[in-house]
Amino acid sequence: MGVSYQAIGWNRQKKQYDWLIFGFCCIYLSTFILVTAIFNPEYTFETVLIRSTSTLALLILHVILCIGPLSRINRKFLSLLYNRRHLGVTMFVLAATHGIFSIIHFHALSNVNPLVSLFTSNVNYNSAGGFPFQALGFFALVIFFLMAITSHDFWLHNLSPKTWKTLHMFVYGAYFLVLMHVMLGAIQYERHPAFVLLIALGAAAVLTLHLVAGTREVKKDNSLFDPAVNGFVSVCDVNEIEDNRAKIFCVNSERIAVYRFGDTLYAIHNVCKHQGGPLGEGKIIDGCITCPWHGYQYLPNNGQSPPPFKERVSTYDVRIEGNRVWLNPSPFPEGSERPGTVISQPSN
Amino acid sequence: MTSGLRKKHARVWTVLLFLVPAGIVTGWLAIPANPITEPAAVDKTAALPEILYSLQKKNYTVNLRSDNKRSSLQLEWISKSGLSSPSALIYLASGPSASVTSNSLIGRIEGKGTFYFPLKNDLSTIPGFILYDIIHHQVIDRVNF
Repeated sequence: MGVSYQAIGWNRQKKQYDWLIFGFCCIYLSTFILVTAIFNPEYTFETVLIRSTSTLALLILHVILCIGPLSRINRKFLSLLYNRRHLGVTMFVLAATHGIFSIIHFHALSNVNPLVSLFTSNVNYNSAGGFPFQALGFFALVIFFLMAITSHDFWLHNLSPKTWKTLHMFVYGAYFLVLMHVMLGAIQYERHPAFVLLIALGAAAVLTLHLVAGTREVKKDNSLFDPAVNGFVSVCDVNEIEDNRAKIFCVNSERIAVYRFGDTLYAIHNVCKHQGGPLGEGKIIDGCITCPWHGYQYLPNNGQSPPPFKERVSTYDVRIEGNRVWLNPSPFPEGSERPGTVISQPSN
Repeated sequence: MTSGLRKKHARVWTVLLFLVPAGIVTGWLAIPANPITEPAAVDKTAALPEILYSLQKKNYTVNLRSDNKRSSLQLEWISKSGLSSPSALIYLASGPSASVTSNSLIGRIEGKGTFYFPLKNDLSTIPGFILYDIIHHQVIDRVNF
């Protein structure tokens, strides 16, 4: 969270993370090149570079796609989510290196424009085995390019979170294009079953994780509560909410986070204004509800980001009767001051 | 995540749940029975001593070599400069065939250099070769001694 735009918002954690990514990429690429030089010395450097960057980009793409559902399933993965954009840009740089070198290597040696050659040299669109797979990779690269150049918060604010998120959801389409690029390309030539198995395992992991995380989300959305009494719904026991943490309730299709801050309960809308992060999965740091995704902060009593920031979320009324927490799902306008409710007796 | 965004994700992943396995299986089934590019059977030993046939082309020289007893046969491919198609395959031209890739694959030419490929020792007919671009699916050249 920053009051002004910086080229890259590096902090200590992000620097460590980026060095880790850089180190891993260097080790992977140098190992790939060394192993190929030993076992396939006849391969040219361009070929080795094309192959090493493509396999690394594919590996990182799988990791990126697994981070989202993993962080829904287990909070330990939230730190990966916090840094996911840098991983995405790294993946794009590798994919672009693969794409540019491939176009030069395979299409730039004739008198036809390389991009024209890319789309016209093979037009076997009715054949699976001979399909012009390079076009699939090209379109995936275009999507990654658009995502990489708009990855900065400047574009998030200027395009609006809704447009930005819609654009970035194209990564799922790009993932399918990449899989088909590999299956109809390299897999047709490198026929070892291990390669097909690796692709299938990677896809199975991505699909399974999204399925598991999605099923859990649907369960949350379908939680049933007793009918409202005077507009309030009984949601949980007060002991179920840890200090500085929240529980999330989906009432009338909206998710609301009920936070405990000291001896007071507050309720705010669960969706962060930045990228729609789940505020109820964060915690209170320095007196502010802190989004687990990118650290955006809101005051628990009014849903406003502390000055000079201007983000605001809706607030809700919450009260305690006995040990039960009652929540009114009717939202107050974003940034409205609400007093919360004091836990009058020690609940433990 | 808003409820609308959750619904979008649910729709996308429901579609991908079917598309991704279908795509992988399609690609797997499309793998040709005859290898398009088995790892190039490069003969890393020295050239056989006798040149039976030789053909000079602008960018490469092709020699058909044998030992003194004619018990072994070898294809020597000398690329003087990089080919215009960087991943070119050499197939044995075995008469009229439905597609080039259904012929026997000899090996792969990667850039500039000298490549040796062992051949089956059958000199009843003089073998011919097809240089084939696997990316563009085009015949680059035919070699007939």
